[in-house]
Amino acid sequence: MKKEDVPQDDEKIYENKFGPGLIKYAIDDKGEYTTVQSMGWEPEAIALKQALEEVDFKVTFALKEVREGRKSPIFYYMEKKLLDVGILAGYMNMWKWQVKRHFKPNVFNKLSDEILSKYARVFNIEVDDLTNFKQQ
Amino acid sequence: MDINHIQSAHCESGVIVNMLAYNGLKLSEPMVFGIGSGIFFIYLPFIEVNGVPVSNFRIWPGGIFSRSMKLIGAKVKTQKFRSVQKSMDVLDELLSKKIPVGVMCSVYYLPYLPDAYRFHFNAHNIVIWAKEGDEYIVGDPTLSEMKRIHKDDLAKARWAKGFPEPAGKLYYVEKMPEDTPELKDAIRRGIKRTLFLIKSAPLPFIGVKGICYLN
Repeated sequence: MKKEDVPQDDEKIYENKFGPGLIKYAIDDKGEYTTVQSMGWEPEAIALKQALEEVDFKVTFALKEVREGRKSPIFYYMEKKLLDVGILAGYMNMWKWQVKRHFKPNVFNKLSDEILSKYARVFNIEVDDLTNFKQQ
Repeated sequence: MDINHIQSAHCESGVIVNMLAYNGLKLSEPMVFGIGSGIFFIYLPFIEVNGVPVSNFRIWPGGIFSRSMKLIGAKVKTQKFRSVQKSMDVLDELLSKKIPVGVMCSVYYLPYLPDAYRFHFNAHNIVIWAKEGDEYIVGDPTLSEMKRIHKDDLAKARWAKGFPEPAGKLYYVEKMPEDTPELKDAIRRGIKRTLFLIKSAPLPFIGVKGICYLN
């Protein structure tokens, strides 16, 4: 790709945090490779948006599950913080099956304060957000 | 410390470019990538990440660093830790000796990135240049400018869980070669190793065979 053809699509999703842009390699007038700053690329922004929509979808589903009493708030916050069972188990220093068990509302209700505050630290929320789950 | 942040396209090769430049050796990012045998191919149809089979076109994390530094003749040190406190103390000590330090981290805890980029990806690399109060001055090789990050955020980023697990990993140049390195030889050996890796693996998932398998 020629230097001047490098896409410069400024998209909201970058939040203006990349300044003049990220580096891409392109060809200059002499046919040699050089670096160019690119503001962004629309297809990439669309792919990112789609990934975020999928997260939203999972979070909405999790919220419904919690509200209808099938899952505990831990399940909701796992989705909300983009975690999965494996990573969450890593942070909790537990086995995956233990974390999965905590998704069950009746098991969740019996969890110790210690475990609840550990979850709250991992999710970067207050313990109250877990025990008095209302829905933000 | 005379800091001159160099923006590059990718994190690991960018960190190396910055470290070498600080030590007086100016190499381009593609040159570092080549000497470090960065290009590779692997296709693992039986391992899925987010429901998609894994395919990758670069060498394993840390591979470019160790290989390029070895061929250039620089002595480097890589450390992993058991405790968060120790990992931050060692970092501070190196910074006080004015040694720029590369750290492996998760992008999720880097506040200077747009939210859309902050997912649990643990194999990012940044250069830590200095410490000022509770903040670190950070050169993220992919960005045009240096950033600041609070020590708590950096500790979280260095201790992210999941795969791969950074476990506080840091790396730095201990000693540069005394003479200007003979690049000709490093380049030749880099190319040779790249060819070896992508051509001679006995498994069908790796290198040229992997590309054919994916097709």
